[in-house]
Formats: sequence, structure tokens, C-alpha cells
Amino acid sequence: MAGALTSTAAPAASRRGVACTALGTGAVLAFAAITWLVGWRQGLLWLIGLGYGVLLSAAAFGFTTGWRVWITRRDPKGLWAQFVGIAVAMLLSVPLLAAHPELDAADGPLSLSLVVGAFVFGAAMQVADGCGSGTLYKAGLGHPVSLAVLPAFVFGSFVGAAQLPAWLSLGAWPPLNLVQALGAGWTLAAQLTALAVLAALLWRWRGTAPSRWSGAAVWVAAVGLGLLAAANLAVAGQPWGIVYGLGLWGAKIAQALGVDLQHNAFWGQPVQQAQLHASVLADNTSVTDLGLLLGALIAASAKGKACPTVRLPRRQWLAAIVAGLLLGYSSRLAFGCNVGAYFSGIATGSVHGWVWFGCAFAGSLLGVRLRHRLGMAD
Amino acid sequence: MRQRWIGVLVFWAAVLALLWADWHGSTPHDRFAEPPPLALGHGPAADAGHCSLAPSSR
Repeated sequence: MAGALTSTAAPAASRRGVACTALGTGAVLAFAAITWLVGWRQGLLWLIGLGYGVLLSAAAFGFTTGWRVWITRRDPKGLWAQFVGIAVAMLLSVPLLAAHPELDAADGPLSLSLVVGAFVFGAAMQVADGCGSGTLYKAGLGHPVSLAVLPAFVFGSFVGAAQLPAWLSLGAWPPLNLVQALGAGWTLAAQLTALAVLAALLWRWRGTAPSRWSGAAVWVAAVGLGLLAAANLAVAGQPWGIVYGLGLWGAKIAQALGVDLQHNAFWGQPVQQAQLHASVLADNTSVTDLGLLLGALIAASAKGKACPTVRLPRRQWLAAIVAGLLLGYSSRLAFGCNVGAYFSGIATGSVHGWVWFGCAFAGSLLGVRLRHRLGMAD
Repeated sequence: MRQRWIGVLVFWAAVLALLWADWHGSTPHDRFAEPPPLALGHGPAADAGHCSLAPSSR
């Protein structure tokens, strides 16, 4: 028996080694190509994106699952890990932003669209079983549902951005950034206190079931994501984001299919037209998104967890794809997803990040119920 | 096992094909007008987009 196990495990390990070597070589070649063709800044962002993908995939670091297991089982570990990641990114980013006004925070307006978009996003991410980063990393490692959700997410982001000016006309206040309003010290004190209070409340109301995450991997991933997010700010001049890149890909595909975007209120703006006519490799968010996709596949291949088999009834496939459309659309209304608004917004002192968190969590309470009604497992 | 990889291979083939088509269909990139490697001290690229930016922010 032991001999049989060894004889099947050895070829599997060997295949994993070959796959990882091939993918790792591809990642290095892509770094060289991007750096040569576009420049060092984009090459460095590719490496940062790879890091995001490796950490998210290796630790199964999920924003969606973290929220869901708290709602259903009062398991606080996923949310704690998110707070740790945000805190690490904040401790590095806030002083940088205070000392370097040339860097941009993730400042979104406080608008009706933010409230509606974040609520819908929070609900849809539970049905699609993936948020912005989750859908990307799971698509990268070959999860069939995320591979189906991603094109819908891309199309939804494109349409959401196209209609964003109309949504903003319904009511919006300008962005409010705590670093500018209070200074670095008070911003850190206020926001770290808020995260600590939330973490303590999660501890107070924790359940008794064993956590979904065991070991130190989730903490390593949280700290690593925080460090990479700060590096993202220093290299790109703007925080980590996901959905702008996805919307841009959708707009480029639409433009290639003959859709005239020159007169659109969003995509027709000079800065967006410049992006639409340049390569996606020149766009910061696109490069980190692409790196994240490949990094996730590398990490999953190393653990033998790439390309999982999933069997779902047709109704659940359809629900996931519709949820993907809503994810894309609503994330543009909400000025970001769990990464661009929640993680980066809070880490760079933007009040819209906190509003996003509250509204999206409320949406997730509904999304978990919808998920159960559709017969989806936790 | 091989069947499980078909989906991801098709996905990556599509990504590479789209990137190739995009590169050749886009305005040629001036390799020697690239910004400094770090935005720290220099600022982001003038046309850099982010999810949190309102339409008229830049």
C-alpha cells in the first residue's frame, strides 16, 4: 500500500515541479519583456502583481470567505487577517502620503453611487464566491466558476464606468482624506483604534467551531499583502487597485468591436482616451492584475491545487455569471472593490473606504442568504 | 488531469492573444520616454487610472 502511494505520489510531485518551473520561467520572461518593452516601473509592478497572486492563492486569502465565515460561523480569523493587512499597508502608506504629496491616495467621492454600488457588490461577491481579487486569483489558478465569472466582471466594469457620470449626478460629496484633514499621526491613531475595536468586537462575538484557516499562512499573507500594497504606492504613485484595469480591458474589447467611445462621458475623457489608445501593459492596474493571475497559478501549481474540479447545477452557474456582471458594474459605481476601496481606501486614509466596508458588509448579509437560497455551500 | 488543465490553457492562450493584438493595435510605446522606476519623488504617470478616481479627477 505504502509502495503504491509512493509510486503515484512521485510522478505527481514531478509533474508539479515541471509545471512550476515552466510557469516560473514564463513569469521571469514576462518581467524581462515588460521591462524591455514598456519600462522598469511596469516591470516592478508586474513583480508586485505576481506577489499578490502567490500570497492570495497560497494562503487561500479570501475577502469574501472571511466575511462569510464570520456571518455564518462567527469565525473571526479571516477578518482579523484582513485588518492586519490593511494595518501594515496603512502604517507604511500614511507617512508616505503625508511626506510625498506627489503620491495619490485611493480617494473616492462620497456619493449615492458608493452606497448602492458597495451594497450590491457585497451581495454579489457572496453569490459569485469571489470579490475583485478573489475572482482574479481563482481565475488565474483555473477555477472553472471564476473563469466564467471573469469575462462578465470585465464587461460589467466597462459598462459601470461608462455610466458612472450619470450615477454621480444623483448626488456626491468630494472625497475626504484623513491624512489631509488630520495629518499622518491622527489618521494612524484614529484608524488603528477603529480596526482594533472592530477586532475586539469580533473576538467578543466569536464562535466555538475551529477556524477555516489553520497555521500561520494567512498571517504571513496578510503582512505580505500589506507590504506589497505599500510598494505598489511607492512604485506606481497610486494604491493597489483591481477593477479599473478590468473595465479598461472591456472598453478596449468594445472599441476593437467597433463601439464608438469617444462621446461617452467617462471613456471619452482625454485621459481615458489616452489609456484606450495605449497598450494595457502601460496601465498600472492592468499589469498588477496580469501578474496576480499568473502568481496565483504558480502558487496553486506548487501545492497541486491548480485547476480544481467543480460540479455545479446550471442554475448556480447562471447565478455566478450574473453576479459577476453585477460585481463589475457595482465596483465602478462604488469607486473600487474590496481592494481599491476597502483595503487601499482605508490604508490610505480615504473615508470612502470605511463607507464601502459598512455598505458592502450589509450587502454580504443579504448575499449569504441568497447563496443559501440558491443551494450553494458555505 | 489533462482535461482539468484544458480550461486554464485556453484561458492563458486567450490572454496572450489579446495582449499580442492589443500591443500591435495600440499607439507605439516610446521605450525611451519611460517614467522613473519609482513614482516616489516623481509622481504617477499623467494618465494613470485607478478604481477610486472620479471621472473629472484628472
